[in-house]
Amino acid sequence: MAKHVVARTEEIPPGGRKIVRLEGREVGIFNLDGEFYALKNSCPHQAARVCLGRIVGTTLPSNVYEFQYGQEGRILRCPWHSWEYDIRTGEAVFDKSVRVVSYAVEIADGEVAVTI
Amino acid sequence: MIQPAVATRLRAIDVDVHHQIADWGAVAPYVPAGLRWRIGRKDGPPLARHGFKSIGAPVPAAASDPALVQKEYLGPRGVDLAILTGSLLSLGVQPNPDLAAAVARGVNDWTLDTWVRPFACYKGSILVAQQDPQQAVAEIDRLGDDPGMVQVLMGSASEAPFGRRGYHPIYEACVRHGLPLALHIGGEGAGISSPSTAVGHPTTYFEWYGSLPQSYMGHIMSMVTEGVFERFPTLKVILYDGGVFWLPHVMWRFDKNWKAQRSETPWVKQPPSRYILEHFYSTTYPLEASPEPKYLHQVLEMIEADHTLLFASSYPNWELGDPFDMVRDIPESLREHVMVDTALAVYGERLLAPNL
Repeated sequence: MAKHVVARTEEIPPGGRKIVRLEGREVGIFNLDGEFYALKNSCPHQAARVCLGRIVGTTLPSNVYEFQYGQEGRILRCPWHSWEYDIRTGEAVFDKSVRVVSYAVEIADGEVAVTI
Repeated sequence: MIQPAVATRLRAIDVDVHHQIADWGAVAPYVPAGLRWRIGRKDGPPLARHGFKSIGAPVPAAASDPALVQKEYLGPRGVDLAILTGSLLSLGVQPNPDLAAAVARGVNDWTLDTWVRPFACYKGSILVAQQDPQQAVAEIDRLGDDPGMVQVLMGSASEAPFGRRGYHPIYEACVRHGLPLALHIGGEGAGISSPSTAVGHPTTYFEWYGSLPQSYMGHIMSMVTEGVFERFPTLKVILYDGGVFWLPHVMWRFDKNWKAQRSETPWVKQPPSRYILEHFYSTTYPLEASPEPKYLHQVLEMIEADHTLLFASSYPNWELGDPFDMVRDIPESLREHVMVDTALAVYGERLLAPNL
């Protein structure tokens, strides 16, 4: 376990992201309304660089023929096969047991640190 | 729950006996008076047909006589109970929905009076014509609590995929009366049906019959994606005469795509294969003839055949072989399930209740 300072907070504005390389792997750091999250840049499906995907919302589980769009800005859609992940947890929308590896993030003195 | 002692006395339940109408004059009195005149004395009502006919053996006359079917088929083969499915599998694609509904009503009452009530070995299906869902619902409500009727029967030939919301009242009625829904191939390409294959009408009976599982693929995908089983979680659907080897393909292609495309139908909350394995049943006639029994065993495991496969003879249409030969390669561990137990689970107590 090692803590790495990866950015200053102002480098990653809300809705933004930064991809860094830490200990031989790529990590995506996301800012969701001031909260920072870090995900391994590898989709559990076929190892695509998932952190390069679009940041979107999605339809929430609903009754038949009802549409509730939500989670705007919190869903990462893999660029290869469109699997959807919750950026805050790395969990796939279709099955929470499928997940992108996530890392702990700490903010101190305006710096973003990721623990690998 | 059904007493195990009762169940163990049963040797085989055949969910598919096609009782035939030899004389429409006998059915006509049961048809509502306003349309009775359309039922010919011998030939029956005008029915749109597809142009395909088997070159195989003609249907034996025995199938139109309940006592003879009992004597010549059920008894010698050790079949204790048979569910009647008739021979009007294109009723739901007849251009005239009122005539179709009247015929369904007449045939249902004739079946009850002639086959079911006089014989403890038969159970009936409530035949409905789905091109007018409202009349189909009325027929289900009229007969839905009759102990002699154990399922609702629709031809799988249709104008549209069965997940479409216009059909949902039919499913609601099935659930209201605790009846499974049986779909049976046979009318594909007739009347107002869409072509029987996705690329158009086939040329020969051989081609037509071989490609019929396409109907089920379309209906299954439609019913799952349109949320039929989210709206009606207790609905059971039996797919007659479709085989089983194509089911794993549908389930797993569907599951794979759902992971990426679920946002389009957010009410589909489980992998599609879960809905399929929980709600759909298949029949053993005509089980695909795999070159090696081990292939069959693998597929039976894939489709969880211990709770999804029902013995069906399709009597008297045995052009594709003897239905008892078709179940020969089913593993011994599954045999009781296929021959008896799964039918008891699907149809429940009504299957063993006296016909009143």
